[in-house]
Amino acid sequence: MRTVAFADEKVVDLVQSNFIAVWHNQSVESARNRPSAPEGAQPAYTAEELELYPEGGGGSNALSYFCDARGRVLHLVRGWWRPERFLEEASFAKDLVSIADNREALEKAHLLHKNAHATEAQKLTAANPGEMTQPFPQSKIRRLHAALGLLGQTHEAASGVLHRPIDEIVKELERSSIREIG
Amino acid sequence: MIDGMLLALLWLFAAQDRVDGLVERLSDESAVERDRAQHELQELGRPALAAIRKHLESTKDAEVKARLTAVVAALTTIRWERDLKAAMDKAGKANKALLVFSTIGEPDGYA
Repeated sequence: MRTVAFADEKVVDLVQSNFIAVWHNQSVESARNRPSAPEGAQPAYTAEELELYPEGGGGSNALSYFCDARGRVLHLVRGWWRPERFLEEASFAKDLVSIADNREALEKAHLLHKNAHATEAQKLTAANPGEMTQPFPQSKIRRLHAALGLLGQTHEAASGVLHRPIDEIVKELERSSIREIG
Repeated sequence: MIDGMLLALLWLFAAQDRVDGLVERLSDESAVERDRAQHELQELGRPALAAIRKHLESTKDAEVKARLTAVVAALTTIRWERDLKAAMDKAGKANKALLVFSTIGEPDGYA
């Protein structure tokens, strides 16, 4: 996310203009003060590698919580997403701010957005019937279809944390982190 | 419509003048003045980015180059807060939404 979605000009613009961005390191305390990665240590992904990387992958290793000014969660995006899709979800989250106090309206908005993804997936299948039996690495359509399924799941996850205070969620993440990185 | 275009052009020239003036101040004898100029360049925001980049490409002064590089970096990367509580206070006061990205690793490391 750091080198792709969060380096994208449009994503940077949208995030900087509309959100106060917080980076939370899930690593246990002992791992947090290790030196930064040297410049160039993480090689840039090639265009082919990016194309093959499954959107939505990474799950709970990449959690983007969008919250209102009071710190209440409005939307959650799980996993790694390309700039275009992340921008779409961040824009959706930005629009939720105006209805932040209305729980029912928030749930309705999430349902509509989730249904839109499901419709997109159905249209994709209908337009490309032969693609769904292709192996993943060989089918961009299949990968997109899977990504849309993951987005649907992310909306369900978001509905489960709607209005929860983000500081409580972060504390839970820290308590449940069992990773030790040397 | 022509008025609008004229106004836009005038704004562009004024903005360019402003950037030029601030970049000149990056070579001021006073370090305080150089810091101030760098800060003001950053405050101009994304609209000034193209003009700032042009100066970055053409300058031969090492310190000016370093300062302009820092300004470009500030304008083209997300400024990540690290203290959630402080960020929540800031968000509340500014009535601004929050994005909390939770992952394993640091913003300048592997992610």
